[in-house]
Amino acid sequence: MLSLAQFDLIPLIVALAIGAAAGRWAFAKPKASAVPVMKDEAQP
Amino acid sequence: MSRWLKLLIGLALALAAGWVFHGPLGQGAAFVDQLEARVQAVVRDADLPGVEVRLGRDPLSRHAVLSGPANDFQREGLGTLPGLNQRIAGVAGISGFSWDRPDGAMPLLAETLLLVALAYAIGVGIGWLLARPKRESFL
Repeated sequence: MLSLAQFDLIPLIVALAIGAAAGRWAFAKPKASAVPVMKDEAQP
Repeated sequence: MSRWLKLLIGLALALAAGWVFHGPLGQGAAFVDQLEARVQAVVRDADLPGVEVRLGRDPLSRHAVLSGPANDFQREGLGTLPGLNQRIAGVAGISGFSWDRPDGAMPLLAETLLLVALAYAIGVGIGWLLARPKRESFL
């Protein structure tokens, strides 16, 4: 099966690129909120 | 959205791209045509009248099926003299061969999708390396 890889490179490169994008998307660190939240601020 | 759902969406996208390349874009059929022309040239060079070779068409496969009258010597060869079997097996891109019946032929689409899934997994690993948080130095 692996011998096919040398003849069928384009879908493999596309899959590699999609995988890299999906991996970055899935494992990305959630962005911190731009506005700091004070949790223990005294409520009026 | 959960991490696994994101990875499954990516996998579905990669498999769909592999299928489009293989089927609707016609690359699978073109590859099998090219491969079949190569093995037919090998059979023609062997000069065995009545012997034919074809590759799987429904479904497409890289498995060569030989047919026609050929004795053991013509099939297997003798000593350093290669027979038709060795010559067919030596054609780059052929996954296997059999006489008269397509035994053990794996569809080209299945092979392509397995390779696509493998390439996708490697890509996810690269994406993980790119996305992981960087270590902060305290020095």
